[in-house]
Amino acid sequence: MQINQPISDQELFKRFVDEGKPENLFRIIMDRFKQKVYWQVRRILLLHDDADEVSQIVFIKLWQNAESFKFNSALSSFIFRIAYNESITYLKHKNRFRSFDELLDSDGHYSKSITQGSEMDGNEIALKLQNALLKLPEKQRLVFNYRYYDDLPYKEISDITGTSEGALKANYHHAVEKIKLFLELN
Amino acid sequence: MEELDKKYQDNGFKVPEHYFEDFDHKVLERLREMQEKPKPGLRVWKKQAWLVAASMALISAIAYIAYQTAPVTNQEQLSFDNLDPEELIAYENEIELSEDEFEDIIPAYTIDSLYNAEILPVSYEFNEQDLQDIEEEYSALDEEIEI
Repeated sequence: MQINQPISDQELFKRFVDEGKPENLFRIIMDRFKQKVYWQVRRILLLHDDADEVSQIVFIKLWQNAESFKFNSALSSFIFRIAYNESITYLKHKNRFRSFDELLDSDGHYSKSITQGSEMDGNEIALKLQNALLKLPEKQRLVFNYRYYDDLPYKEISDITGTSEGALKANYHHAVEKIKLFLELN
Repeated sequence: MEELDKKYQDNGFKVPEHYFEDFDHKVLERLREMQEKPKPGLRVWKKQAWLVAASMALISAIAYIAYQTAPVTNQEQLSFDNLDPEELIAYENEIELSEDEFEDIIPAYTIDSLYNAEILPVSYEFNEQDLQDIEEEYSALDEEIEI
């Protein structure tokens, strides 16, 4: 099956489901979303090995649950929601995540991995921002990542996380204020 | 978004070289493996069933051996045959069983040995003298009552 002309995400996915989930169409879907999924997951889990494992699981789940997509929302929202759920599930399994209000990095595990390990590319500004993000409550960090790095509208973040747009805006506002303060002080 | 300088937007995380090129292959490989393997639920169930069966067999064997080799305790030595006849009679009175129920519980030979041992033989055959003695006794009694 060849895709010779530009085709929307929805049309592509519909063909994928209607034609019995052929591998070549799934490759095209992965090509479109794999980097976005990886980076969303990476910004939640921070470590590459964790992000790699969860990103693969996201596409396996997408393949397994393809028929449950109702085509009422954007395919990206459907995939990012799987990515979000799988990331949270993975964190719970690793037992480093008890509630949204609790700091993910309460034991300093990730700060050490980022500053001392091989996870960062040496960009000091980026490292500074990541350290600031680690100081945020989990929900503020998630919203900030979706808005700042992925440019997602609040509506889509709401679809992904199941949180109201008002709460997301408040979380984002608090996150920005705290990050600005952190960057000024450091 | 405008609040923060865009210079921060490079997230600074490192990714292994050619990581995204190999990504599709890894996912498809895992999907193929999952399709080839039997459903994990069934496999787990079978494995658990074998474990349960093996555990039950082991427990049964241990229980049988323990029962066969265990020393007989004082409690196990108690039986109706070893009870004192008075205790048996007390037991009979206490539990208020019918005669048939009592015989069902206590072996017949135990009842026989109990009654043969404890109850004196009673004869219902009175001779002439016995009858006269009884008559005299009752007559004397009647006279006393009349007085």
